[in-house]
Amino acid sequence: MAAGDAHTAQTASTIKAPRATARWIRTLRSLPIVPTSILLFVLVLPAIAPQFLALHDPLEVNVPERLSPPVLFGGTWEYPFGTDQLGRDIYSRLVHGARGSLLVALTTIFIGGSVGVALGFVAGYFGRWLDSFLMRMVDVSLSIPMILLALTFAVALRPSFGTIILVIALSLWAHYARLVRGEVLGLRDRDYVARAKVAGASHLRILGRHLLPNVINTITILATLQVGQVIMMEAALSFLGIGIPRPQPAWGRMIADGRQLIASEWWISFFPGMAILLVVMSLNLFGDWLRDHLDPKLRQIL
Amino acid sequence: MWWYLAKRLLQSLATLFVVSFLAFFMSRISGSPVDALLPVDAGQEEADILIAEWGLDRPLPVQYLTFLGNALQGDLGEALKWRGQSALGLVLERLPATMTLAGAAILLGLVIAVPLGVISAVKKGTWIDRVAKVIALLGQSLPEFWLGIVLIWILAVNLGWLPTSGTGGLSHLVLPAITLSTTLVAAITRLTRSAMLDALDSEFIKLCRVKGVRERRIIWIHALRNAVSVPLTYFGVLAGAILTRTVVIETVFAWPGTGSLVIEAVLGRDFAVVQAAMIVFVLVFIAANLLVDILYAVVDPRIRVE
Repeated sequence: MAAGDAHTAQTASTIKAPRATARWIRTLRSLPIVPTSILLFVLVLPAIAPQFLALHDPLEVNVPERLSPPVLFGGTWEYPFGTDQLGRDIYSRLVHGARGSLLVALTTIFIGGSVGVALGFVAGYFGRWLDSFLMRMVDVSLSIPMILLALTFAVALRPSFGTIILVIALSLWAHYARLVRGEVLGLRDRDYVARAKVAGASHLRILGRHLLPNVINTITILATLQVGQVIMMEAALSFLGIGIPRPQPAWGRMIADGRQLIASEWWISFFPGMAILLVVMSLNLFGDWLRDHLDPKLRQIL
Repeated sequence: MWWYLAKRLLQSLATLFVVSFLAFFMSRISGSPVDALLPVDAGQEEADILIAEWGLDRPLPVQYLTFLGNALQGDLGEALKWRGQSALGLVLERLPATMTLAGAAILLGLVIAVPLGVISAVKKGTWIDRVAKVIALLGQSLPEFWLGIVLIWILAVNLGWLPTSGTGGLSHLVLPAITLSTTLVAAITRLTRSAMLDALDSEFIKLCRVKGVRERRIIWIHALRNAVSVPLTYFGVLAGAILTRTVVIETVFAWPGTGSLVIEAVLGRDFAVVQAAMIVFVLVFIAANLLVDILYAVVDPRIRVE
């Protein structure tokens, strides 16, 4: 009898203990390995600590070593991905370029996202003329092509980090506003919101405590999916010469630098493009994973 | 339906108004136009004459209304870099080349993506579905300016199949059109696939099967007709994206359209031309969206009734 009790107690504990840990372990295990590691090694680590990964100063000009090919194509390990017209190390420039890309993506999404979410809440929650006005602004914003806006800014103001962040944030906010407004419209008339109102909760409290937690997953997913898009936008702007200003290394700029030499010195343009492709593809896969994980019903919307 | 179209038209006017506002105030932030117009050694007197002549001494709202009035008459100022030519004229002169490129890309995108989306929905889970998925992912993730350069490198330089850049016959159009269509192919494939999955699952398709309609007819006529309205709604947005991308693609392939004109104008700090291009692009975008709205009403009778 006693032995039986001990036995059931034991099985209960063996069942319970793994269950408590299994959840986050399962989450971790389902993480897509390849995209996550690509993101880590190509984007995040270089952005955090470029000085430990780079072999050379990204701005160091070394004319005698100019246009040296990558290591498997007759080059040396001194310059694994070769050098450009000025003898700068492509690999080190790639490593240092990650920070600019990530920084622009995170800042613009933070700014554009916060503004968009706030306006979306206001539009969805208070409704009426505020709603129609804000949604018109959203329509307007979505119909102004980002690159043209960037070009206008580039002629009007000097190209700088601030300008690209402003331009990209201006083209992002509307997506958040529209999404959040739609979600809030669906939640606003729920019973629990009405009860919170009866209980005397302020508008701010209802928004923060009762609506925001219901929308936060959607916002997170949109933001994740947008990191790749913003990196691509920034690369396109840098390619056109109106993005991250010289001499700061930027992936898009590096592609432009090697454009004329593609027939003979292909590596100058090739590797930065691969970096963008790998990072954006990984971000897309990671975003899909996050969406399926947090909220499978969003498959249709995002 | 007319009410619906009128509403959309009104919205478009609001968009244009905001764009004109933006264009005007950006031009004022960029510094006084006097500096750009006068020679370096000009004195204050000459500057004053010019300011009076151009009405730059009047209050800003008045200047804006003047600008708006001129713009409505098709006068968007004189180009700075190309002396003596009107900014709008320059933009319109280059517009056909851009429209040709965009049109070719859209055509190519539809021809590839719609059948691919339909087949991958019908043969869900097979190898062809997986191939479609990979194509969609690549199309979403490839930086197109880089793809253009790589295509030039492989197909034009190494294999010599196609010209590297510039204009000429149809062969010059192939590479830029392919490059421009990648994002479109990705988006339309995904949209068509999910819309087809929904359509194939619906009651009327079951009825068709019960009636004994041939499977081919069910897929390509009954299901596709219902599925096509989904990618169509996104088409307006995609048209805007395509238009924007021409700026980058034209630069890569030295295609003489509006996009490469804008880049030349930016390098020459010619604000009037950039401004004109922005307004023209937004107009084209609005027109594309209105066209989509009309097409949408044609395809989906429910809109007409409402």
